[in-house]
Amino acid sequence: MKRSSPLALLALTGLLLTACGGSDTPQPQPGDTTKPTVTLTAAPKTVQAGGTVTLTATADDNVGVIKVSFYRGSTLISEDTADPYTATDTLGAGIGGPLTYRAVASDAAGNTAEATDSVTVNQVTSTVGSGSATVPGYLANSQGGAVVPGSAITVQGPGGTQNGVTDARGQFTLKLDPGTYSIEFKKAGYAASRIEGFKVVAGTNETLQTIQKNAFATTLPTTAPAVSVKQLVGADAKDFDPAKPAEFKASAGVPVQVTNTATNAQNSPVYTYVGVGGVPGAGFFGTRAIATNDPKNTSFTTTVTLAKNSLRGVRGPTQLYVVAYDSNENRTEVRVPIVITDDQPNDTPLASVRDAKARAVTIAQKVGFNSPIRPTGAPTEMSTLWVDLTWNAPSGVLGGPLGARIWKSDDNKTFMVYKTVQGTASTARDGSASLEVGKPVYYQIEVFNSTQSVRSDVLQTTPLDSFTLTNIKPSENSTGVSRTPTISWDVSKKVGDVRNFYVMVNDYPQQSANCFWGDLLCSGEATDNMFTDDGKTPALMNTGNSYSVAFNVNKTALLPALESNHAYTLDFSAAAYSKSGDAVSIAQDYHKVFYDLDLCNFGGPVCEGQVSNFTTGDK
Amino acid sequence: MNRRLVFGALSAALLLAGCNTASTPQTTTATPPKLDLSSYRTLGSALGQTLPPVSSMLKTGQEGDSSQELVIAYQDRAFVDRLAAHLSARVGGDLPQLGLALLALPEQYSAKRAAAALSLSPHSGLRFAEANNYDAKLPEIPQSSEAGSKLSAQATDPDPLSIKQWWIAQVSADKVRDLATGKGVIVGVVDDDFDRQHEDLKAAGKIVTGIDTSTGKELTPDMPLTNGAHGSGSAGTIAERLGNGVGGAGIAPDAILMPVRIFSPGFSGSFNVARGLVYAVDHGAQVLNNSWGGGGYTQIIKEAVDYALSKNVVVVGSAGNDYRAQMSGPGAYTGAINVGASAGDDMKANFSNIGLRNDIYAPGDNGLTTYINAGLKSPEREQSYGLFNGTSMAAPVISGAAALLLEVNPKLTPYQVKKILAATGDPMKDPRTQGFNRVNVLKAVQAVKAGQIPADGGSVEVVVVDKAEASPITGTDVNLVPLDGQNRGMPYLGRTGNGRLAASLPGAFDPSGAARFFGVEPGRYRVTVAGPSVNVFGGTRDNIVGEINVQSGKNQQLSYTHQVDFYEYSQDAKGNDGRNNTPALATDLTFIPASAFAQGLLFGGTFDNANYVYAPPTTGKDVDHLKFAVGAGQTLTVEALARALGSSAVVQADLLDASGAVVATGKPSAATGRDSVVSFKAPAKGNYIVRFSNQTANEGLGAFYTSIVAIK
Repeated sequence: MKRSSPLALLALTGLLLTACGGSDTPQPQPGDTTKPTVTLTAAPKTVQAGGTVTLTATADDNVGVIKVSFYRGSTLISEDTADPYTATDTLGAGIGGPLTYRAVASDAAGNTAEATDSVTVNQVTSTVGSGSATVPGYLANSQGGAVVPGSAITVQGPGGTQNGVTDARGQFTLKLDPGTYSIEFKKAGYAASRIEGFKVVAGTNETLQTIQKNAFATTLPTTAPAVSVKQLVGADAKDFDPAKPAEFKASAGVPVQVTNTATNAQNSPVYTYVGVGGVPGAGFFGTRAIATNDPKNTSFTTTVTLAKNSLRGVRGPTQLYVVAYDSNENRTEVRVPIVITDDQPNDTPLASVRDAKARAVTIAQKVGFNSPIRPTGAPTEMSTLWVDLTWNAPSGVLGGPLGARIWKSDDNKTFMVYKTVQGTASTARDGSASLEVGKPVYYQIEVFNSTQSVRSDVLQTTPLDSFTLTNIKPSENSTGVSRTPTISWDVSKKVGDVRNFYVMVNDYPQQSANCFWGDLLCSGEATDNMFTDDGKTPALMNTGNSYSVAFNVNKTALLPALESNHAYTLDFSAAAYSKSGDAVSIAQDYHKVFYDLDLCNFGGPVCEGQVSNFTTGDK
Repeated sequence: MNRRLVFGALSAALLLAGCNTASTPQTTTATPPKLDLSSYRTLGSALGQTLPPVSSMLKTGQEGDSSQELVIAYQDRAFVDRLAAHLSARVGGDLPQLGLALLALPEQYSAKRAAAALSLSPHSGLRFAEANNYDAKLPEIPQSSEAGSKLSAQATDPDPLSIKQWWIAQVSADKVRDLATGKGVIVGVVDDDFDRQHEDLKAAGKIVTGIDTSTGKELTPDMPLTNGAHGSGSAGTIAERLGNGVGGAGIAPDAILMPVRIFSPGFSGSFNVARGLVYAVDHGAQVLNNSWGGGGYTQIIKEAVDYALSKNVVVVGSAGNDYRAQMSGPGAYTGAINVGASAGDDMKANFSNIGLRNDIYAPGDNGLTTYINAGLKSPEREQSYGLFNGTSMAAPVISGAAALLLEVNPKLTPYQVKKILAATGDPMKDPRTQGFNRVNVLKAVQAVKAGQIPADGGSVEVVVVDKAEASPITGTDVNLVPLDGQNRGMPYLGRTGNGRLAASLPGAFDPSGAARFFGVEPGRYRVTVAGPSVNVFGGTRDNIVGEINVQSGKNQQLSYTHQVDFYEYSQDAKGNDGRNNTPALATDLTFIPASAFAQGLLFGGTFDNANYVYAPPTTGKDVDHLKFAVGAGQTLTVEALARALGSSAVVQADLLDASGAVVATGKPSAATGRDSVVSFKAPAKGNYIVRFSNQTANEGLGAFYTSIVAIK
């Protein structure tokens, strides 16, 4: 067989290849050594961490460009074989700038040319966006609950997608141009939290206090429920027109139909809240409408009419709020602009607002209220902080006010309306995340009718930190305890100006009688065994954070000594107060000594805390 | 292994015989001459025939009774009839399995005063009396207000809602279906009623007849729901049906449910609850689920729990929803399983009670099951489901788990079931529940199938009686303190009674016979038997300490004696309480006919002013006065012994007339070992007072005496 020359073989191969490659592939000219030309533009010039960079290249060649390869540094992103030559690069976690992109154009002969462009990566901060208006924001894990730091924020709307992250105090700032946006929060261990229809106006907006709850189980899906809100016109459910806020007559109320659908069948919708005058949630924080799902249903539709008190006296252009939760605590909030026409004006003459008081309440228990405002205020994960506002704006024969606006300020200069409540209310609660231990907060109550309003004086309170009792003695499960023991305990920190301790030894569980020392369980009175560290009860010994009192020091016990070989329970209700009484912090209070609220199954506001079950010896 | 209650036999010997069996004293100062007092009948036995005067049971308005019902724990059923006739009361219920009867007292009587009057001194035929005012609660769970209306289309899925039952997967109950389903095991749902017609509970043979304890009538499977939703939540958690095209599935889908309705919606009272538990046990329940609590200790329910445990029935209770280490409900009695609630990721449900008393955790939050919307009407109600929560849900998870184990091995004892479930669980991840497990039913069932059965627990019965009459002493604390770390180092607590201190419940005493402990972890224990509660019978608190070795599968019976003065407590003519230190306050025994004393009646007393702490303080030495009715021409003879019994006292007996004047002085009789013998022939019918005084300065512990009083 005759040997073919190598060059001929190559030519043959080249011919075969080109024959398979397609008709528009340029045929290499023997000896093509001319490089292509290429340019590259990477946009945007500054990209958010986790954002997307779009790469556009132009390339040209004397014969023809067969492909453009795009690289970030030395990492190949993709290749494009046809004009226009583009690529996109979505930045993964941890990719930070500056980044250099390369576009490499190749021709069939293997000649290449390269162009570069760089991009700066904006590390995610707690400032989201760079628009003209400002929205201060706080994220907490419930109304009155602890802040959520480090939660990834995604804002979508005019201007595309913007990212941020809540700071160590759960705070963030939205810098957005006026418009309507959706906002989403994501953090491992937490449920989904999403707001739709969030309206930004020019200048500084009112503070967004919102909630992202701990997921019930991280093994269950953390996707936000899908919510649709329609208005009812007669019996028909109609979509809201985004261009024109729907109008409702106050006398008829606001009827809406809401569908709350869990996005994964493992979850079920649980609650749908609807309200005006403030984002609705737990009834503890204000009147609203609530619907509860039969959890066998993955989608749940309910019709609700806000009327009378649940309109909270709100009139004119306003926002309708809908909040939906599912069984894994995923949360979606929808805001719809509406107008409530004051078709039956209230012209009841207004009296002055009397006896207005603000008191901050801190409890060492995680309650997990469902509410829109979140507090980051709660000092620790295992605490809850809110402010009770009370006032007296009496109704008379002529009726009562239409509503009451709660104005709030952090500096006693700039006040903004925090929420509106119905005219018959004499209490309101603030569970904002912006509440902070040691930071004074100011309020004014403004009662109003359709034409005028009257304000209270400015109220002030400074929340106290939470504290717990530790190192209780006789200690849990101790035996052989003295029949005349010294009772001692520590506080985790000294909070406020004076600490109050109600000490009880209950003959429980062995039970000859409930109230062996400390009559509270039997009489309901907590005066007999209340010890305070302001010097008024000298029987209470106090050194630093440690306290002690001798059993039966006040001679009120049922017997001078505990019975021998008998089981008792040592229990406390403990709270700290500020000097003026405008703030209280409750460490434990199963028995409702310090605050009348049943947050426990059979007990009062704070059943977290230490009890000690001990057994005496024979001496 | 069925263990019958043996206490009955033991105490019969002590009570009905009415004879003094303990003639050997505790103290050992000198060697006493041997005395045989066993032939004498005791005063306590005579009191069994003669009942306290009705005047001692009338309402004064201070008692705070919440019911007219009196529970009588009887040794002899005839005693109940005698007492009922005496008070013109109706016998409202009888529970022979526990020896409990219920009397409905006419309006003029106070149940608490009646219980107190009956408890002051022993009455043969009576074990204890307690006013039926124990109150328990059904834990509140937020109810749906406005339910969503639209039913979503169900897929053709054998259990379409099971995808939403995170808690089933969390305990691996979905993986155990081929191994065990609880088939044939009856579980009593002790709760409010459950909906027998629910689409995912109703099936042939799945629900058996139970009892409505508020009326005593049966609840049959065809009857509609009476009221309530909570019971349906418990029932579904235990045994929601599997593979029938609707709903989800429970832990033991083939278990059989028996309703034991104790909330209607009010609590039906401890006697009725005891009746319900006994009914369930007697009608074949192998597990009793108790998702309720809040009332602390009551002897009546403790006895019903003991009845169940003695018949090898597993008793499961909720630990409570109050965030703390606190006893709540039947789960805390020795031998029961006390269940805490876990949540997602094996964290503790925030509200769950904690502490050493919990045996195990089980999911108790966001639990989709047949927790109906009770606001709906049929048939929608029978197709409704809800998110159950609380330790109310955790307990039924364990009850279902127990049913699975008992299907595989019906011979498991309640102790073994508890041990297996606790040991085969997975560790809780919450720092607040370190060292405790969340149930894993797959591993538990596998362990039983592989024959990995732990040794059974043991049981202990402790009887405490008085020295003189050998009558049971109430209000005596008996504790078993582990010496080798058993029971997580926690003492088992018991009482021979349930007395209440006067300041909390005026005048109420609730005596009982024995302290019982079922399901004790084997090992060495220090037994502490504290003396009579200073508030009940008074007396210096005498502490007996012993050591026992509790052995697997064995029952031990212990008996101890204390000195106690049953007769110290008295009332003057105006009804004021006091000690019998003066003739005016002499203990009134005149209602006992003289004929009862014909052969002499024996009783004991003490020289001790530290008893009855709520009586006005006394100065001087303790002197005891007791008053008897003597007919004309009859002779009253009193013999008193102390020294010969090893007492540190020397007792002097004198006779006084009704005005308090001495009519006869006692003299020693060395030959018969009596410290003092005195006699008087009454010229006319009247009341005479016997005065016992102490010739030594020794008072308190060790200063006791015994006396025989004869009237011929």
